[in-house]
Amino acid sequence: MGYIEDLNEVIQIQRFQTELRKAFSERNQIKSLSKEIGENIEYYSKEFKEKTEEYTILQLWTIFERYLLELTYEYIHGEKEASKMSRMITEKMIEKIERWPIGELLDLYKTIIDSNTVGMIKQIKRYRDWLVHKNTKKGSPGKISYEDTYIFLSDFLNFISADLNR
Amino acid sequence: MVAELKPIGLDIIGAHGRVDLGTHYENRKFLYFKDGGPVITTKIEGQKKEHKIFTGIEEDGWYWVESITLKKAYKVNREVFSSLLEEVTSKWVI
Repeated sequence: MGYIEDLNEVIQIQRFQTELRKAFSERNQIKSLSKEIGENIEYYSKEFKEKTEEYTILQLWTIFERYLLELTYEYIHGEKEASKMSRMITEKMIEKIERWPIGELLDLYKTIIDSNTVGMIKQIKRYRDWLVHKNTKKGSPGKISYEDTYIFLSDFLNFISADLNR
Repeated sequence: MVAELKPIGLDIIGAHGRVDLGTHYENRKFLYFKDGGPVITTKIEGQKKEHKIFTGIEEDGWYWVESITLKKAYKVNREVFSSLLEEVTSKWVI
């Protein structure tokens, strides 16, 4: 299962962006980009940093959702010598699961992971949704950094993966 | 201004507060954890087992997490604060 590699790649891209900003700044090159940017370096640098961190959280969540589904399919595909009928039912179930709200899928995992942890993953989803829409009427949910998003999402998948491999 | 300490909030997922130390270009995140820090509890075959997410959290306080792979948290003291302040300020030539 390549979720660790995929999640790591997102983190590496975020680090690359940080290093790129450093290199630009150290060489004093940002000022020469344009008059508008040159006169507002601090503003654009801060905005750039915040936006790239937000995009990182969105990317991490997308990978998490994809692998959560993949791991869930592994539970369904347990029977190797399945009949034709059984395989057909399995395929139909997989098709339906893809359309489930992610919250319902996460709730299933309360069987093996405590509800507080599942709740924490749902909070990350709410924050991810808020980053997408930024609906000020709804107010900001609990915040999380991209580093902690990586840690909590990868640990969650690790526990599911370990349960499958028992 | 060398750097600023910016309160991010109390409503932080997995922690009880966050303050960032940084400049416009780079920052370090301080998180307030209760003793032990966040845990994931698994329920395999009826047996509950607690897994600490971070190591190094032995009392309530402000911590800085060094890396996302090692997940080692350091309690913020004068030494940790000074070295992080140097990290966020010394690399930038504006």
